[in-house]
Amino acid sequence: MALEVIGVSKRFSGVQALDDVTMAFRAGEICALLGENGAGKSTLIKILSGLYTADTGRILIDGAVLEPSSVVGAQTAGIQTVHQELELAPVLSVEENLFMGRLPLVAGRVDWPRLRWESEQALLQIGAKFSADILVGQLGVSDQQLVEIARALVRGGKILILDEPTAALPPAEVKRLLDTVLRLRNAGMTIIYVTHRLNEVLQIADRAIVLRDGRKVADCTRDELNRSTLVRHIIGRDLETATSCDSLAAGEILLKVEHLACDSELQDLSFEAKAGEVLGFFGLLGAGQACVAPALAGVRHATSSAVLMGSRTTLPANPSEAIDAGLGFVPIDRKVSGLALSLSVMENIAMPNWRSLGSGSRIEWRAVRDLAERVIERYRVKCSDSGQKVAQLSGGNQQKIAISKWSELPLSGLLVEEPTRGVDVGARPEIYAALRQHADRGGYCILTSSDPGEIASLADRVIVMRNGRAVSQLRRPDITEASLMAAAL
Amino acid sequence: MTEEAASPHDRRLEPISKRRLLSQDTGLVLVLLALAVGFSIYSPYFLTTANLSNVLLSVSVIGCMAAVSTLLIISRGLDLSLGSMVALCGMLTALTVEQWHWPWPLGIAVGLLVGALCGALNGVLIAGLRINSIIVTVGSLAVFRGLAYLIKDGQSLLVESSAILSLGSLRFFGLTVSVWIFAIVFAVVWFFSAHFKTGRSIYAMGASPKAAWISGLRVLQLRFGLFVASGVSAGLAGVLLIGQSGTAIPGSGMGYELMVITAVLLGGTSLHGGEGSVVRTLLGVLIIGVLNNGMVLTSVPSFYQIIANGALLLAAVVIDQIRNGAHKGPIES
Repeated sequence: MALEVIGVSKRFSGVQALDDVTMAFRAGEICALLGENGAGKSTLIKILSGLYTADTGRILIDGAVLEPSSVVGAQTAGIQTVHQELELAPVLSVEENLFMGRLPLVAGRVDWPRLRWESEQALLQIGAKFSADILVGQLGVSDQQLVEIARALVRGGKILILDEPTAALPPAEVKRLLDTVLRLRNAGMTIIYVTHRLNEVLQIADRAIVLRDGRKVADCTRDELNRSTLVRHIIGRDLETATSCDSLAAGEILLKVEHLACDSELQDLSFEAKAGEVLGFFGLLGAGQACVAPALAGVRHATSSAVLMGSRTTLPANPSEAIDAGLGFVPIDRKVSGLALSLSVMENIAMPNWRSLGSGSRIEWRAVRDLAERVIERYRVKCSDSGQKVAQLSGGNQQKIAISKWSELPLSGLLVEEPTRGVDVGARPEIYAALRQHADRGGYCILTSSDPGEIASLADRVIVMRNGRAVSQLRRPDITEASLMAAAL
Repeated sequence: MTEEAASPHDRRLEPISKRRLLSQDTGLVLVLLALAVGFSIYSPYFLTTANLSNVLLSVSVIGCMAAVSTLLIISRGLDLSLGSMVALCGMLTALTVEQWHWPWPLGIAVGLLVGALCGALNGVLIAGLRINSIIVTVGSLAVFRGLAYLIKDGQSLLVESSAILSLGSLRFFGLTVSVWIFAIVFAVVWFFSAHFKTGRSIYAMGASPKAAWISGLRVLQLRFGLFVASGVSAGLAGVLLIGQSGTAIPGSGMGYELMVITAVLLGGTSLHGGEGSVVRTLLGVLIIGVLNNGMVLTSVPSFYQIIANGALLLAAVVIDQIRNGAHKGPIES
């Protein structure tokens, strides 16, 4: 066995994050590690990569005990982890990031030609298109992710932990990443692959281990892997059938934008959104769909020749103007821009509502709490009470708050980026329902995503983008993952 | 009052932080009591009414600034130019009243207005140009100090206006006017922070500036306003200081910003933003007052007093860092 976890438990103030977990990983296999948010995956990964020390239990690498516990110790022992949060220096070049702390030397000085050559080899290996001397900060998020993976390759090691490596990647690069992962497996590496995307598990995994509430609940071999079994293990019950009920017939035009352009990423886009519809924007990385919501929300500077947005005829210059024009924004980086994690559920819900809560500048606390509790109940946010800190909630419940905090404002449009990114399988239908609810009340949702499955299960109409322009438009029932990919490629 | 039941101090609303607040409050009160008991053992003069009212008088200057700075630090800002503004505003009030013979209310208004202008300069650079507040106020600290020296070519100004002098001597119910002003400033700032929408918006922008901005809060305007308010509080402190000492000294107020920040951080307000309370800053202010007063009474040499004040600030920062778990986090925050 390349890596063995024996009876590992870990407890955080009152919460049993891992409860006597035992598992083993072979060399040359891809083992998927599955589970809802809060199931204990992250804790296990952090113990393996030396960030946490287990309360009890042992970890063996090739039969030798891994001493608790430091990041360097884990790396020396051969465990390389690619975390979800990028750990790169944006002002350094790709090659310097790849060889950070281990630059090749010649006569005591940095051997730049060799650094360049080895970096290019590593980038070639994972199929990255950018050059090794570009600054990491100039790359998009998904290219940065590739740098992270390339760095794990450069550092060698026998065991590679990938924590949701595809969460930020567009489909084209997901394929390339999966190919890379398979290649590494065939070269004899142990891969622990953490993901929410079951498609990827079914495509590449040799085995899948499922955690729930800190315990190991399933260890399936390749032959036992199928979607419904995995879902049942993950959420502990059968998944309700998707909530994609028929929407209202789309009504009047509430938003109209012509010749929208934003930096060089979004060249020219004209579209309209109607009452009652969920309009999706789908495209691969850099296709321009990522600019749509920030441009309309006044977060990124953009231009347009003609706009109809509530009473506005120009693009909003800041979020406050966008809200006045009836647009709320649910950004992709929920933990930084969508929510204030250190504040309570109530204060987060109140944030966009302060102006409409009560008449004067004084706060009517009763009204604030009523509002929060109304929203919590309607969107089934699971929290101990409205005073709980948002940081303590699961990803799904956090996302529900990021969306539902807008629900009490008289908004016509909701701009949502990647609504179920980092949200576990069980909570997804409820997020979908929350968005559908907004459209059903006579508003519209604009949804941008690089996950075709998400778009297919939610959008009434999809504008597919390529190179900063709209290339085709799909309507239900023609929206499928396959048709989206075909249009985007 | 029905609103009282649902105020932010309602246990149902903030159960987690509330529990922590309680233990924190108890800790602060214990420190205060320990200091008081200690000093009263070593000095028979400590526990006299005259001395205790002296303690309050001595902290009234930094206290006014600490109340406003609590909100500033909650919003992730820091104003290091406070001490220089105190000197500059005090000099200008004394100049207008004593040399130009303006009526004293006008002179005080000049002091406050100049504080507001200094704060506005900080605010424009920080909110308008998005420059780090520490760098901006380190620069303006020197500019304001230089201006204070320029006014009378480095000379001090004697204050003879009985109205201004009465700030430090006239008593109501045993407490000087300065102390009453200090109490009113605290009450107003606390009430504003707990019961006004703008007050809660300051917490939101401190907890996550980007989320607050996307939620439609006017983050830049708020930030600007906070620095203006900080300047006004320094102007007020400058007026109180010349009233108490009877002289406007261009070199006065040095190091006040450190005492203010110490008081705020001792009170549990976090440098990481979004968290803190004006009421607890009051306890921090009192601890500083008692410590300095006690050290004088027990004749601790003044160099040691300086060290003690610095050590207190460092202790407050260490506690903040550990409480936030930030000492175990990444290499820098």
